[in-house]
Amino acid sequence: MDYFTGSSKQTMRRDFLRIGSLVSMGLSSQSFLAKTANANLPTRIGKARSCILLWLDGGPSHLETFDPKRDVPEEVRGPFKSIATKVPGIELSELLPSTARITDKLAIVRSVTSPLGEHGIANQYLLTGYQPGSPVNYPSIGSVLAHHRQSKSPLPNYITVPESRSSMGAGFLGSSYGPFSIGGDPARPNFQVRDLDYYPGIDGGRLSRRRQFLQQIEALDTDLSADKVTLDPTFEQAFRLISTPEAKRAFNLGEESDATRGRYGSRTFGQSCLLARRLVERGVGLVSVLQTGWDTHQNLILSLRDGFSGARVGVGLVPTFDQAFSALIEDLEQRQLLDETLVVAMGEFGRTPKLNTGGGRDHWPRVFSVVLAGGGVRGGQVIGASDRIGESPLERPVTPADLANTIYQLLGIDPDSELVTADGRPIRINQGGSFISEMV
Amino acid sequence: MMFAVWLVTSVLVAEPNTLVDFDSEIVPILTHAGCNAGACHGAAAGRGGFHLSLFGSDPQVDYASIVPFAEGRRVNLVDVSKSLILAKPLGMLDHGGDVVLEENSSSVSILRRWLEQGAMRGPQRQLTELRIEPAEATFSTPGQTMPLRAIATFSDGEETDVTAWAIVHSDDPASVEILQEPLRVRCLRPGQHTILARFWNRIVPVSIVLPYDDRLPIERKLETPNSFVDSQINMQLGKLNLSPNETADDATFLRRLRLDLTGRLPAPKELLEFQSTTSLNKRERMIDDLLVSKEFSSFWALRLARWFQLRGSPQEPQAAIAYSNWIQQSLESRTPYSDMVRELLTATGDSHLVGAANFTRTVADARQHAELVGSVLMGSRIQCANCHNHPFARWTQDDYHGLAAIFARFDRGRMVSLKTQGAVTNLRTGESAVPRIPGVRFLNESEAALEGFTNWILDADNPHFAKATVNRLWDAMMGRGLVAGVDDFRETNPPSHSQLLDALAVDFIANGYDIRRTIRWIAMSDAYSRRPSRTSGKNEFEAWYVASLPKPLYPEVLLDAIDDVLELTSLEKGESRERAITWLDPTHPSPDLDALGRCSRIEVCQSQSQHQGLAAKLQAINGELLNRRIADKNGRLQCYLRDGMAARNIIEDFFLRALSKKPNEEQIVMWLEELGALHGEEQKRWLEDFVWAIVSSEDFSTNR
Amino acid sequence: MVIQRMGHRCGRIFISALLFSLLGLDRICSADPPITALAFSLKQRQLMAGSQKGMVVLEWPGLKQVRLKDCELESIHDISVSPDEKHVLVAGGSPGSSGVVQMRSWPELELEQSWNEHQDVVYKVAWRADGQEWVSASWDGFCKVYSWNAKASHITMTSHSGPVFDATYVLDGSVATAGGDGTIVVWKPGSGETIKVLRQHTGTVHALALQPVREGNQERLLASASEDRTVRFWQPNVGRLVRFHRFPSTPGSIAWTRDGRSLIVGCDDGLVVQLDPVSLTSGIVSQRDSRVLSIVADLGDNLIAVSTGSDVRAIERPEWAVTVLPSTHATLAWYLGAFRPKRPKISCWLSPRF
Repeated sequence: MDYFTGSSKQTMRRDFLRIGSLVSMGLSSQSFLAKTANANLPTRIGKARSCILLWLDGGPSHLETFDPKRDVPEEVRGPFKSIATKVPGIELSELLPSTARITDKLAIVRSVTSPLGEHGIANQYLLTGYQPGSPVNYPSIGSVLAHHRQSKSPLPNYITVPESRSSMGAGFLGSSYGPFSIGGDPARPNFQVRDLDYYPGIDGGRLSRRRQFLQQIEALDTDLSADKVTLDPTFEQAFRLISTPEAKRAFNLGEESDATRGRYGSRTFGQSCLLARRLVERGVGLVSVLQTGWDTHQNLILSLRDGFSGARVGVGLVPTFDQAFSALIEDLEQRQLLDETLVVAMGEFGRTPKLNTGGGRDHWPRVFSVVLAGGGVRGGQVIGASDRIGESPLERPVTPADLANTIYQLLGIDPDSELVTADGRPIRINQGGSFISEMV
Repeated sequence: MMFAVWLVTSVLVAEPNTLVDFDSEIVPILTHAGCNAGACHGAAAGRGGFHLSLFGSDPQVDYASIVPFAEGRRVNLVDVSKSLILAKPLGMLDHGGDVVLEENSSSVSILRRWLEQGAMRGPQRQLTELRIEPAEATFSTPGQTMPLRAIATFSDGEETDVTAWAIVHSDDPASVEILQEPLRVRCLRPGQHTILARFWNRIVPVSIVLPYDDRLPIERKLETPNSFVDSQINMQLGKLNLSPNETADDATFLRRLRLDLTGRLPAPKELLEFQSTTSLNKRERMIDDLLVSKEFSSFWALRLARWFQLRGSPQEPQAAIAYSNWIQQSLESRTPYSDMVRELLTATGDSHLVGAANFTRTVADARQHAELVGSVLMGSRIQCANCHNHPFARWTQDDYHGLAAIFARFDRGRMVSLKTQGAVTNLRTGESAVPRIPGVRFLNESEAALEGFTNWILDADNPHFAKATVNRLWDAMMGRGLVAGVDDFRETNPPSHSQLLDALAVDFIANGYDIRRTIRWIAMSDAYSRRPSRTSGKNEFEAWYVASLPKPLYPEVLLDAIDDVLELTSLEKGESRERAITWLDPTHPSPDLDALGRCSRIEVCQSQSQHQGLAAKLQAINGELLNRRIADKNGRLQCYLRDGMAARNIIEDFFLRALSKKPNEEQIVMWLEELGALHGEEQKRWLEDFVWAIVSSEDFSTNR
Repeated sequence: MVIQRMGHRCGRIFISALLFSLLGLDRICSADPPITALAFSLKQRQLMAGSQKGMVVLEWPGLKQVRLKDCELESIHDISVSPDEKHVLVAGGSPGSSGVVQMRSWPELELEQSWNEHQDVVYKVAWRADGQEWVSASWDGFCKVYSWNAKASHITMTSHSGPVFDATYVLDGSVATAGGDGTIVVWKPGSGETIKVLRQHTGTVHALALQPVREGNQERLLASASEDRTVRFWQPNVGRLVRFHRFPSTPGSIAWTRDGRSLIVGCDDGLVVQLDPVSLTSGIVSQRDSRVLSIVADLGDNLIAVSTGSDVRAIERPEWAVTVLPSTHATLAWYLGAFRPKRPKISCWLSPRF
């Protein structure tokens, strides 16, 4: 372990254990390390223009996906086996055969660890990089990106498909940096984003007039003249989006061939991933795709593999994920977008190493797995490891703050730079995390 | 000679001073070192096979884990240094948590002494008091530091300085920083901040005050308070050196009052009359008039329905109707809130007839029932105590499961009744939970558990109910509770004005639990009638009520307001329209309300609608909600146009109706100039766009 | 003179105290480690007790100390006498670092061979009935199988996902082991292959005991005691739970009486109970307020020896009158061998744990 990561691991553990008294010495040495670490970064950092975040809501079991175990008792191993992948030495669950073919593109972090085992607070930790509990309402990674970067296209810079979670919001940055949830179900034949087309009788001219009137009304109580008034940025964005037909076409999945749509899989998650690809192609900064249902306290075989009882071909969570994820990576690569698109697949925690009495697993934040690909990430590797039964990190523990730090840096955002809350308080984009140098 | 030998040997053999007490000396050492934190051995599953109670809340469990567990592997009484309980934290053996104790520290020497004395757990003494000095620290400039001391008093009478093992935590390190060795606190930003000091199983909040520079542009002396509400608020403002805004004008005040008390906008005629009246106590009279109105009962029925999480089921619409009617009638007849609560807790019978019985049906089982009761009646989120004791919140597992046990006998079918048997399993003991009044005592078998609990909640000395209720009322009127988070009362989240909260609670109890009375106190105060803040976004001073706080409208209120503005009123139309605020049941079909983000009540309602993002704006611009009403042939605008109303009058009317504002002459002229010479269809479209902008503006959808 | 005036007894105390302080032993003796291993030798009619201090051999019936042996182990968690009573296995180790199994001769207690393969203490070592093979169970989660003239174990069993606290040979040469993961695994020591996994316990299994042979060739039940506050009876090779009994506190140690008719159960709250495995009726044997650590049951069905903390007690039926060997006196006796307690005669019988 090199000097920097060795000692930062030490300080990290201490911060973990000590409540309150964050030794100011420790904090500043942390930031010192982070800054120096930045200075030594190879030039592959900051290559990613966009990010697709696959949010596996509910806490996916690491033992049935990216961290299967072999020589262990049955109640640890679970009902499924592990298979070899394209990369010798890395094994995945047998439910991920397509992903096994593209493992050379993936960096699998198997030692992510968090103390938070409840959905709401764990979501917030993973999606913002900050643990909840202070008076500050932290913004999600997508909102920080939207804030950091001007969107060149009229498409909003931060989109969630098909809907968002409360932790995906903008926090103190204000709702104008919140995500645009497209709503609906991309898998439906008549899918379209609501209210993008003009109401009958309205046209571009009237739209501008409405916008102008809005400005005038907002100007009433102030000393400003109407043209100096800044409207709610979300309104501005809405006006822009409606008046740009090319932007609206981004949401039209009918433009994709049947072959492509089939490759991703016909379920909501698959088509949502396809939509995400279309959006980043057109310059959207961060698209978050939601797959719900991973909170498998009961019957792993039914929820993770089969999808419904009596299924002959598994259409449960993992096969659906497998098809869509591998399709997304391959598609991005074919279109030469993979180098500039960071893909992250994660949930809020893992699941218990031992099966419970219902044949499922319960919440387990102590160790779990997260997968990254593209955007400068060096594929074909496993970072960190969990112990023999997938209970604790064995080496190289990674916190969600580290993950956020890494994602920010890969996207070219300096995690030490500061945001300011409405009452003037400076908040670092990322605090307490360090870059996972093995990632590149 | 032998005598001398005896003396010498006795002295040599004499034991060093007193016995180390496990509960009050060893457990705090473990807590201070972080051993029993949730991330380490305090986790429910322990760590590395070693399990401690979270933050030392249960010394019995801790002792059992450390000493006799697994045939005493953790304690070596022959060679004390080899004990795992020392060797691991000192780093002599591989430890997942690395080195957490230093060899030369007092912690280690106490641990060693305890081990040498036989690792016993003696007669347990309790911590009777934890005192922090100072309890409130007032600073004068940012960056100053002040030392802190923690003094513990035990049940054996001993008073010890335990500063070395106190853990002091600042939730907001940017405002207050904690420094170690020696223990000091440094205040960085002005305001009143709370830090928490913890020792063993007690946690004490410490108040850190740094007054603001008086930098608000308007220098105003604080007016003589006209009630106990204002005297408390003003005292705090004075302490922090803040100047509040002046009083809002009549129009702003009436709009706010109307929306808060009756959930509707003031009609233009009403507004103009109110503004032109010159009587001195017109605001007081308006408050009194509104409080006795039927509209008040209607709207506050909706508020209560949200508190109680009223939710109908499509198969049994009569149940929701009975519940709604009951709430409405109770409000109309001024039933004391305590009587309402008694009914909610104890009502049985046919839920289609007995409205209050539906409270029990709102929840699926006894545990959810306990959580709802905790949230509404005690202001507490008791759910964490399902799985473990949390020493920060006062609730233990016995409290949680004991409270659930009180509600375990309910049959929650259509006929709500109490069965003879019913129990929940206490996860801590593995057996049936004994009914318990949380934080107080177990209920014995002879007492009817439900009645015992109800009497306790409604007793004048109950510390939770009145405070939780008046806090909700304050939050509804002022936009922020005295305890931020109406269901988040805990020691670690103290009220911003605790004496005010106490005074309101005492007044509430002493005067028949009359919610109108408390609302009146609030509405009459200067704090309520301040001008809104000019800056947008979250206001740093919001806890001190320097300005009025903006409150987003409930979707039901917003829809009614949209209809009031864009459609004709019932008087004008000659037929009555059902107002959305009377639909207490969120399953009442209404695509418009769903589009506005109506709360489903499946969980506790958020005060902020999630509905503020881009999708909402797209809907405002292109969606049905506004456009259909604006274009409606029988809508207000189209009717005005058909009646030949002049553009100027239309403009004035919509301003007054929607925003409670009267544009001045200059502004009218400006609008008319823009309208220019447009007439006919063109003029209609212009006015439609104008009306659209009025109802889409932030001023419209916010209660300032 | 002074001695005579103050009495024989006091004089001894002075001398002991003096010697203590001179030898610097007072610090060590101010606390007594619990006795964590008990074993009985039939032939010699002696009781062996092991703790962090080492091993002490006590005479039967006088409970007089015969000898004490420093086994050079930081802790001793099991002592097991071979079926032919020529050897004794002593198991223990250093918590957190290593687990040791020692083969010593009996009654000389000379060290013949030592295996240091485990990464944490060994809690149990069990002989096969023919004395040719034995199994160790350790906190590190592994079980190892050894035989004569082998320098190392020849099989390591990995089926447990937590510490293993007990091991016992059941029928047909297979072994049952149990521990922190709450399962009882029945496996073949020859191949390491798992035969059955018994999962009904919902907490750590602390102890196992196989019912002794009874007349009439009836099947032998396996008894287990667990953190879930039950004692369960199984048919180990079939894998069937036959019945179970609940206790108010965790039963930590169990032993069958020689006739196989009763199971003696010792609990964490100090209760010692005699349980009938068929009818599940129970009778209280004794009640103290300290945790029961080990039980060894008697040859003639009259007595059991129980260690709680650093005491060893002999409990006799049918009256179940209790006589106690107080610990402080035993400590003094340990080091000086000269002090005799002035108490009513103590007698205890012992029988091999089976």
